[in-house]
Amino acid sequence: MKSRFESIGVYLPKTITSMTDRIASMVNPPPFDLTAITGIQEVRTADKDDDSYTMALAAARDCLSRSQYKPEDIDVIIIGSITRFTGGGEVRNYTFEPPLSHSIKFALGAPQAMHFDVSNACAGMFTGILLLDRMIRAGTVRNGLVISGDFITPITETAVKEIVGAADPQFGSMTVGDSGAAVIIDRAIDDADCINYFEIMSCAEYSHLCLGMPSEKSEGMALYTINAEMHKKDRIQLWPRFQLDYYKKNGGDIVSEKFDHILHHQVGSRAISNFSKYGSEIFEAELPKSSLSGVELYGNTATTAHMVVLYHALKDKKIKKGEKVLIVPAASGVITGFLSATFSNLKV
Amino acid sequence: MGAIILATGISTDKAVKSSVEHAVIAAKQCIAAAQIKAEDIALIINNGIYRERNIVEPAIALFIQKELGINPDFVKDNNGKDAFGLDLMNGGMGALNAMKVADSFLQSDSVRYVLIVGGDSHPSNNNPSDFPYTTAGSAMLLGKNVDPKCGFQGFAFKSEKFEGQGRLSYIEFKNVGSDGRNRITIKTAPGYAPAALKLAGATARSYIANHKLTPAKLHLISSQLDSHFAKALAKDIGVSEASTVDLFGQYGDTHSATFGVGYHQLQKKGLTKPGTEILFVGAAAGLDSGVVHYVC
Repeated sequence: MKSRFESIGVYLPKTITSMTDRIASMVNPPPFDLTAITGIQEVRTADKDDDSYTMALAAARDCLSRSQYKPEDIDVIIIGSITRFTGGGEVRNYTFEPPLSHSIKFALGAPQAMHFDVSNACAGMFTGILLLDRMIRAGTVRNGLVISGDFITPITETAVKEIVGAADPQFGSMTVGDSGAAVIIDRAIDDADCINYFEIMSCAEYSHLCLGMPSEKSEGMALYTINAEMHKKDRIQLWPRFQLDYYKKNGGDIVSEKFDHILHHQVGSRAISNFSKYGSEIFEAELPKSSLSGVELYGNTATTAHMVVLYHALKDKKIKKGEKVLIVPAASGVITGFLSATFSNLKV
Repeated sequence: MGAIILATGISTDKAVKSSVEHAVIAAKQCIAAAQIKAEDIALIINNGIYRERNIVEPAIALFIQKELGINPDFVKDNNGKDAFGLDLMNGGMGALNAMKVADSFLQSDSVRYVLIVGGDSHPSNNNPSDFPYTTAGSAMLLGKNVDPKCGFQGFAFKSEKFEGQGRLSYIEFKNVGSDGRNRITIKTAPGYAPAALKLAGATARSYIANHKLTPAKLHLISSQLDSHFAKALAKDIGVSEASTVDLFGQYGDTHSATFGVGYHQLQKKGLTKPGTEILFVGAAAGLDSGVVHYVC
C-alpha cells in the first residue's frame, strides 16, 4: 500500500520585504552581496496578527478547502514547525506544552484526530509525512494532515542586530521568510498519484553545525550555522550516496526513474544549483533540468520551503499530469533523503 | 503484527542535570539489556519536551543519536545502515504517540528496531523548585512481534478543551531579555490534574469496554501528574492498587520519561512475564489522553 499527496494548502503573509531593505536594516551590513549569493529578491514577513499558530491554521484551512476530506474525517494531525510562537506577532510566546496541534485540531473541527507536534529543524514537515506514510502503509491510519506555520523571521530580527563580520554564524537567518503550509496524506488509489518511495536519515555526527536557540546577546530567537561545514560538498553528497544505496538494495537507478523535476531545499539559488551539481557527480548522470524553485520570491521558508514551491509549481501548471518529482529534504542535523512522487490529480 | 518491548533503561541520578545525558544513560542501559547492536536501530524518537538552553533546532534526538553512535555518518560508517531521529512533542502523552508510530513502522517492515527515549530538564539545568517535573530519563527498545496475541493491541486517544489548556509552558520572550536560554514559564490552571484524571479515566473505561478487558487482570502504568493520580485512576477503572505502578512517591512527575520508568519498574519486579497484561494510560496538557493495552 502506498500513500499520496491528496491536497495541499499554503498561507503567505501579505507583507513583502525586499532583501535590499532587509540588508539596509543591518547594524553591520556585510562586505559581500548577499542578494547575489542567495538569489533572494524578497520574502514574506508575518503580518501584525500572524504567529506560528495562525499561519499553520490558515494553511490547514486552505488545504482542507480543496480536499475530499472534511475535518471530522482526519485521523492524525501533525504540526512540524520549527517555531511554535503563539500570542500574536507582538507577544511571541514560544510554546513547548501543549503542542500546537491540540489547539489547531479543535480550531479546524477535528477533535477526533490523534495529534502531536514534531520538531526536526527544516525537515519537520517531511518528518510528519514520513510518519504518516509509514502509518498508512501499515494500515494503522487512513489519512493525516501535516501542517507547519513557520514564523521564522524573529531570527532575522536578532541577526540584523547581532551580525558582526563576514563569517558570522547568523547569516543564514538573513535568508528566511514566513509562511504556512499543509498537506493531506492518504492512501494512494493508483500509481498516477502516489509517493513512490520516501527515505530520510539523520547523520547526527553533524548535529552541532546548526543550532537554533534564544540569543544570549539580546531578546529573541537566533540561529547559528557553521555554513562552511554545513554546506561542504561531503555533507551535500550524503543525499545522492544514500539514494544510490537505496537503488542498489531495491533496484532501479536515477536515469530509469525518469524524473521530470527536482525540488531542493530553498536555501539560496547558488546552493540549490550546487545540490544538483554535486548530486550529479555521485549519480554519474544528469539530474532533471527542471529544478523547481521559489527562492527569489519567498526566500527560505524553513519547514514549508518545499511545499510552498510545490504549491506554486502546481498552480502555475509547471508540473503536468503524470509527471514525477524528486523531492530532496535537507535540514540541520544533518538530515537528508529523497522522496519520489507522481502527481496527476493534485490540484491548486 | 506490531511491536513488542524488548528492553528498557532508566536514568534517575539526581546529580545528572541534562535531559540528553539522562536519555543517553538510559538508552545505553536499554541497548545493553536487549543485546543488540546500536547500528541496527533505525528510528530514534525523543518525546522529551524540556531541554537544555531551550534548543529548538536540531531535534534533541540527534544529540542522543550522536552520543549513542547510531549510524551518525552514512558514508563514513560504510555499513549500509542509516538512522532517523526526531522529537515527538505532546507533553506527557508523547510516549504513547511514539509507541503507536513505532508500532506502525515495525508493522510496515520499515525498520528492525525503534528506540523511544524521554526525559525533561529545566533549560538552565539548575532544576529550580518551581519546575514541576523531575529530571530523569527512560529508554524503551521496540522490535517486531511475531505473535499477534502479544505486543500492543490497539491505541485510543481522546482530547478535550480546558481552561488555559491545563498547563501551558513557553519562553516568554517579552520578559526574558537576553536570558532566554535559561528561562521557561509554566502556568498550571486550577483543576488541571483532576480534569486530566477524569478524561484519562473516561478514555480508559471506554477502551476497557470496547476491548472487553478484565480490569482485575491488568497492571496499570499511567502518567503521574500528582501523588494521587495513579491510585485514583486505578480505582476509577477497576484496577487493583497492588497492580498499579505508583512512581510519584519515589520519583515525582517524571513527565515524558514516565512510561519507560514504569515499565522498567514492573520488569525489575518480575511482573512482565509472558501473558502479563498492561494498560498504559496517559494524560497531558491540552487536555489529551491515550490508552493502549499491551500483552507481554
